[in-house]
Amino acid sequence: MEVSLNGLSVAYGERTVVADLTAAIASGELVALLGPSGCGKSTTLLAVAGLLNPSFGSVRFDGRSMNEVPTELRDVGMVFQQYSLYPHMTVYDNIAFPLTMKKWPKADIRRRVDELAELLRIGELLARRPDRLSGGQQQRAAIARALAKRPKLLLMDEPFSHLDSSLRLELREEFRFLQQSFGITTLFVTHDQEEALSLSDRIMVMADGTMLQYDTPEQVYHRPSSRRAAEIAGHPPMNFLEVEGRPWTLGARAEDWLLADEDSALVRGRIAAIEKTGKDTLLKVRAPSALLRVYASPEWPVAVGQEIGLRVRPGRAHWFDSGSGERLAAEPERIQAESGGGIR
Amino acid sequence: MNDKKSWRGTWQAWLYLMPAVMIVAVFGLYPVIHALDLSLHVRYDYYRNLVFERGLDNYVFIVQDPEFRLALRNTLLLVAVVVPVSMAASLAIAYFLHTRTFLSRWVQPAFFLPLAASVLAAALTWRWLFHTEYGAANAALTAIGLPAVGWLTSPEWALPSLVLFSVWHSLGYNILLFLVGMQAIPPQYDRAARIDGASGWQRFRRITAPMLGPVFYYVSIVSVVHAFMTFDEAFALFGGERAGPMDRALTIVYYAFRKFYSEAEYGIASAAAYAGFLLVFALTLVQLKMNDRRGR
Repeated sequence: MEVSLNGLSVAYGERTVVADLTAAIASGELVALLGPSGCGKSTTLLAVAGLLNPSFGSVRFDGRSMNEVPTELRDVGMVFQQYSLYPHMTVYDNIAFPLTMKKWPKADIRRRVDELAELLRIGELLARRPDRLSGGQQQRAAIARALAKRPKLLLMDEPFSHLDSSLRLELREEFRFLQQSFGITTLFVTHDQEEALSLSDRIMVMADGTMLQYDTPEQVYHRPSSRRAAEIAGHPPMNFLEVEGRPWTLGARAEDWLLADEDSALVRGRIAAIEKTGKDTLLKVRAPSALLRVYASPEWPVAVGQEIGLRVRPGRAHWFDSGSGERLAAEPERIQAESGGGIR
Repeated sequence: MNDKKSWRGTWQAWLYLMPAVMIVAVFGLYPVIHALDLSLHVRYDYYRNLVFERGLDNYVFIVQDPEFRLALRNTLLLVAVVVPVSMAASLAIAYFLHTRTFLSRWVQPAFFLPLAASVLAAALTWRWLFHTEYGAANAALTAIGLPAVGWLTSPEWALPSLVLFSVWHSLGYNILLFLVGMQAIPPQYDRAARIDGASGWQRFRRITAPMLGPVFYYVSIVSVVHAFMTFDEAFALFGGERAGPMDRALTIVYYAFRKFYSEAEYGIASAAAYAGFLLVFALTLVQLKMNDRRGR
């Protein structure tokens, strides 16, 4: 099912939390809503589910406005942040609940629940109450419940954030596989840029209730539409340097720097700290106007206190308008040449 | 914590419990035991605290007394009608207030009024409502073409009037408890149920009602005990001289009250009160057992 947001705005009383979102989500796509907490991404999800009403604009399913359609009739599945399994029901009854509501015959319900339980590997937990499950098991049960009625649209609010990291990676992969094999259009909320970049077909980058960028993970990472969007997607955060005499900001990610000699160096600085995180070595370089985070190649001779010259890997510099923060349309190489060594 | 039992620990625990135990003993246990003793006095001088003969005569008397039988029948009827009606009504009203938050801000105080008003003040209003000639109840009946009714003046309407008043009077407290119970249920379950396609009624039946279990249980016990102890409602509604025309709205506690204060039959009053107590106790035990079985 295709989903589109048409100028969607949501307000709590006087306060607008989501403003004028317009985006189309193709059938079968997995879309991440990425942004810092409080940016309106969960609110957007609730509006798509119909649990909140838009103050302006609409949500459309296959072109049909859902504004007058209550949640119960929207045929969406949802996995909540706290999983929200019904505590007074067994896992089996939880997964069966959406089907019971549709008055399915008992035998069909049993077949569907067993099938999902096997898929999500919770077959032996069906007789338990939710409070007897671990976080990961609750999560699987919640996903099974959301998929039980084969909804046209699946919504997930920070589905993996409560899990420990190894389980999180495992469930993410499993989920991606499930989502693709069901071909189910999915919207999920996350504040974890890595999760958004690795899992989704497209990312909606949000801040302060507005959409900053809506694009593929590659584009979001390699061509962020604004300085703010670049800050949200990517870790460690992108480095920014002001260009002297011009209203431009140069941005470069930590992995996009090369060691440079006197003449070719764009910026010079002293290594303030060295962080070794497994295979990577992250340098904190104190430049005249900023503290840069730079991934060092293994062959770089680095030591704390040492002064080094750095330049940006060709083609990897991002240029933003210093005032508006918007990405500059002009070719980076030319601007780089123009700016010369005038980086502060 | 130290889980091992020791004489020292036990002694210490009793020391800490002493103030509470004293209060329970003096104000709870002693009257119960004393009333039991009093109910067994057959020949005695109440004022000089002399007992010449003890026995079961008082119990034999009340079992044979048609007035007590009427009181017992009325009391059981009150429990059987007032408790379910009041619980169903207050649950429905609480759910209404819970789900329509905008309206409830304005309507809520009206429903909690019975809780705040004293029985006497409320009964005064209801006496006016139930007035045979000038009352609003009869005005409403005649307006829709039904015959007027002697709410407080005809023997056959005395008990129904008391039932109506008791239901109304118990509403406020029950609504409050149910409403608090509903508001304690995290809203995410209702949201999840809507996502799962449950209609309003299905959400109430499958999610809200089961999760209200403990509140439901508490309200049912308190309501049964309260209905069993019905006295002040009848006393205030019928003006305190008789329990309605021809005593037709007599209850066990009313019977005991009258034996004690008007007729100075202290032994019989205690026997009646004790019989009532034992019945409530048995009923509560049954409820406890039922809840145990449900919880398993």
